Amino acid sequence: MAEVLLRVDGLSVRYGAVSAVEEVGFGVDGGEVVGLVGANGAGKSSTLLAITGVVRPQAGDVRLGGESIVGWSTERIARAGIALVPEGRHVFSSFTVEENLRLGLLGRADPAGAEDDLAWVRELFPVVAERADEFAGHLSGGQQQMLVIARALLSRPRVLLLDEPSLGLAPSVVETVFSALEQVRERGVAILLVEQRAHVAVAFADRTHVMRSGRLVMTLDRGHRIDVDEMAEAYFG
Amino acid sequence: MRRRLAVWHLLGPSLLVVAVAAVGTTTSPTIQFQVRSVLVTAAIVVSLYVFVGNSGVISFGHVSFVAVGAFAAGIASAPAEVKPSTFPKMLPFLANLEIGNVESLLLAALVGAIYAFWVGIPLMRLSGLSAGIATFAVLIITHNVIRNWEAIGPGAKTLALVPPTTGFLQATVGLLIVMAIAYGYQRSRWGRRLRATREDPLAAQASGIEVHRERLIAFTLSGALAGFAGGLFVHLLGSITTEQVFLDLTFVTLAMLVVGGIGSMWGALIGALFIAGLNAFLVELEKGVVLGARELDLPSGTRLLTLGVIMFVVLVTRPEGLTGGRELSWPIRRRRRV
Repeated sequence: MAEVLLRVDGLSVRYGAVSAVEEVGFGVDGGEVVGLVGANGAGKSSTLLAITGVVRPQAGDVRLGGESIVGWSTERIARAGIALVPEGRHVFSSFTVEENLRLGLLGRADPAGAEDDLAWVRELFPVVAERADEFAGHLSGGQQQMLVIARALLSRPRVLLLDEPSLGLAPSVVETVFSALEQVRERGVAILLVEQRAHVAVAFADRTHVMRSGRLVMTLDRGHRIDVDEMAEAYFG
Repeated sequence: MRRRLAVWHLLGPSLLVVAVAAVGTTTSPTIQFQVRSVLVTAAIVVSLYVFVGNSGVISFGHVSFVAVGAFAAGIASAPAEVKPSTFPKMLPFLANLEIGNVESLLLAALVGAIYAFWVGIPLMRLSGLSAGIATFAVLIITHNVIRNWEAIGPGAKTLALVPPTTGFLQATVGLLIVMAIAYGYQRSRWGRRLRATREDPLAAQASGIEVHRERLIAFTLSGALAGFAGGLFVHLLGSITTEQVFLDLTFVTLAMLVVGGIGSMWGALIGALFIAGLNAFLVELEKGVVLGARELDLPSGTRLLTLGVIMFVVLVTRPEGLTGGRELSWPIRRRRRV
């Protein structure tokens, strides 16, 4: 059996005495979207940070295309094909929009096709072309979020990790972002989507894992009708 | 437009430097010395900016590279006839060495670069406060090695008889070279990557930028420029002790960078010219100057007090520094910085 693109096994993260993630395991294959939902502090972001090498897991394994990447630096993991869109609007604010995009090209393993990919992200998010010469810090929150996603895509990732991409965005912007992500998925990229809002994830992801106190407690299929009591139970125990 | 603006970012400050030097040549000999020393100080501050401004990591250790450069250039160019008798414990190779002015400046840059690279390998893994303290430790270590290891330095004595070659030409050209390299680095892909890590370390790493590597490149370049500026400094003074390249110079140059605006080369230059110029002016006033019919003679201590008050006022009213950390804007059509 061929191994899935991103495989997380028995992953545990501790901050000192506090356990943030406990023995979490799941997989995401190319062209697949997997959601990760849960309340604040459930361990979703810590899971992403452990996958990308920002924090070092206490135990467990993360494999990309069958190769263990635990202990690699964040930069190396980025170059290996895992792009992280962190929570918040992580643009380089005193750089122009265009310069932000160009910095995204640094993470590419293969420089060929850079111009095609630039054209593609400009099509996905026309605003990054329209405001190319403006400082990224002057964009609205939604535009910054689109810029960060565009920048992440320019590293030509095999796996795209998104941490709360819809947080604080207007509904129309959320729609633009998710229709762009749909096209990303069609290109065969594996997407791991962390959300607090379960209905956003469930509507988009092939399956959605619910996290509580650092553990996966439930898995929901795409389009699962969310029952309030059931979710309250899953989120808060 | 952007290309013209980019040229202006270097040309504008360069014109200012040339103007300051040109005016300086018309003054009395003591003032001339002050102006040359302002230019050399500016070279030190711009070299400090290359690392601190682009990386956002504070360094209290840069004067180590100035010191290493100053003593390398000074010892290598001081006359070989007097060194063995003045410094009996000095390695014969160094005591008998005597190289020319330009060679000594290049040696200063090389020694500064090698030393910065070497200490930078472990240092660049640190950030924030721990980086600041560790660079400060480097300053203390360097000072004590130069001061006490008489095989390679003058020890507690004064290193004298260094050829005083830093006249207006050498001070001006030296500063312009440092500025051109600093600006070229800042515009380069390495400079941009490092500035990205300053703005958002997580996003930079997630974009595949190797923070440690980019910082080490800047630290080494900055060390080379600081060493070179140290060479200019020793050739300006003609004689030097280890105390002259230690704590005072460290805090003064950092203050200049912060007052001018830490994020731009223009800020580094303006801070240096402003504070060093003001300092030189007050030095002269303390000595007593005849203004028209009256003699103005300020009590000693006025200089440091005034400098302190002015720096305080600048930082309270303009926390981003005099330039706000921006490059010089095009004087005709105003535009946001690039």
